Amino acid sequence: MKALRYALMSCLFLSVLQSVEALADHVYGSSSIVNDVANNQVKGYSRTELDYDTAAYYTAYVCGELFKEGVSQVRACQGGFITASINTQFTDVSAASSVLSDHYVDMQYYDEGNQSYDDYSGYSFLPGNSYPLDWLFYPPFQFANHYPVSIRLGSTYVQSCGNPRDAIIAEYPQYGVSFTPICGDFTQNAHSAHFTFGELNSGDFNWAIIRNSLLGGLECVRTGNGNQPLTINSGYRNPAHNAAVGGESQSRHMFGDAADIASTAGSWQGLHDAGKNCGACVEPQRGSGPGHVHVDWRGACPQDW
Amino acid sequence: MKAKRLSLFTLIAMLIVGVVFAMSQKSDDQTILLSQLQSDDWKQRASAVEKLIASRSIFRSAEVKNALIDLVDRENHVVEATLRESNGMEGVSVKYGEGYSEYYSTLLGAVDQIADYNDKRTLNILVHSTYNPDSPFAMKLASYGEAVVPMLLELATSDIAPDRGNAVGVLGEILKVEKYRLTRLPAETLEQVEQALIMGTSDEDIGVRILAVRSLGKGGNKDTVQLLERVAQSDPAAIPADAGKNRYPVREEAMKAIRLIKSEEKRKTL
Repeated sequence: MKALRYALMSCLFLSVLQSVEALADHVYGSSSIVNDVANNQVKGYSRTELDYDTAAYYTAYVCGELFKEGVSQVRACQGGFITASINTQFTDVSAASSVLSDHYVDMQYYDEGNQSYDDYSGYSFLPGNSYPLDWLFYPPFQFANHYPVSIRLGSTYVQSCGNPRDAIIAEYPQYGVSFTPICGDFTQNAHSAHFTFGELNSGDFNWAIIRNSLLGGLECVRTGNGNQPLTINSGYRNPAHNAAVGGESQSRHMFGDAADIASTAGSWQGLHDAGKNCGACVEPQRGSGPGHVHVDWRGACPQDW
Repeated sequence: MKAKRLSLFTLIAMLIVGVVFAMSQKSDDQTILLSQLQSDDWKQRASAVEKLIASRSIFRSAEVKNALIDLVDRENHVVEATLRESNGMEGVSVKYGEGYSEYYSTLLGAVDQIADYNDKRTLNILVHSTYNPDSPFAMKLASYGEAVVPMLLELATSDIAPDRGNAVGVLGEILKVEKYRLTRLPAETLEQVEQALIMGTSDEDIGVRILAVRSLGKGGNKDTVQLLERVAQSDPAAIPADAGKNRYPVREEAMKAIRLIKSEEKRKTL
């Protein structure tokens, strides 16, 4: 008897829950960038999309703004039934770009004599409230009677470094590296007095991460080794290149602070000493052999290094 | 009442079954990982070590501790074999990739946390491991003074140059500690250490000579100055420097060592 009562109450509760769920609405906002390399065009896409129920009472509206190297190039807005989208573009795929999209819903305007829209079902986006995108929206059960109004729901943002930095960045999670670089980590010309960008970059691209600690450290090691030339056997490696040469899955070469160095004008011990004096972590000779010295400026070195 | 007692009994029984199941699961995991440590593929061994370190509950068990110490011993032989195969020219990070070196460091770091340095066998394995003679790990080995000296003296006669370098480097550190009277080594042991360092100054490997001379500078006395002066004048190792001239790194190191000893002797007399 007791069990029957529990079952009935559960059914009742579930049916109430179902009816609340039926009033839930969705609004989706998205921003994206496509680098059209063939036409040297960076294309930005902004989109606000409503589900069918919401679209019965509101229209979608979106404004998209495209930035090149952080400077706004174009901003445009567009409304639409169910879906609103706007495309923006500029020329130069090698530039860093970003798209900022503002997403709105516009209350539909019905001219029925009283210049207002009556929301008999109780759905209502209210101005001044914030509404999460891509999330369930539970409208308040209240009778709404509003003049046409545009309600800003929020914004979405996406950035692209421009080719080929995006391709390099994509390799980091793909190869399970514990760090994901951002556009500003890459350089095409970092160098020091005695080391060119070409020597420091052992990767597959003409972009690389070259940390200042590496540049300053290598100069310091060179000085400590009697101002004699150093050969960089390996510097920065993008993750795919690192994997191809059998590098460690979290190799410091992918972080831009490591190099394998050698010198015809010095002993292994001399390079090791110079490295240590310059604050580097140095792999023991018993592991590396006398052919090269691995130095990196990771900060906390393994205790046996 | 009876039903209540029954449900309580069921609950306790389920709890016991759960605990037993969890324990057997843990022991299964441990067994699998320990067997993975025996793999011929170093990547498999590395993966097992990582998992054992991550599992704090089993990491400190006696069985795991012994297995990891044995593994360091095994890896030491891999490192040695690699150097011997290439006549001392190629290290493990060249043969197996730099990942091996990082794995080795991770393993040694883990063993350092759980190893009993007072156990002779463990200490001997650690003395024969891969490290820089100026690393924190080497300093820790040096702190075991008299216990570690015979092992280092034996290492100083190795046919592998980096081993001899590690031996003279750590022996120098021991001598330095002794010099400041922080430990008291028997006179005979002290004599053996000094002799090993003196032998090191004429080693065929330039790196070993540099480390031996440096060690004598740290731990030597005015009696060793004469020897160092000889090294400073005659060591043959020359490397090209600016304007067609040569640099003599061992001689330079010997001069530094002499300056260090003399300045300390001077300070003592003040």
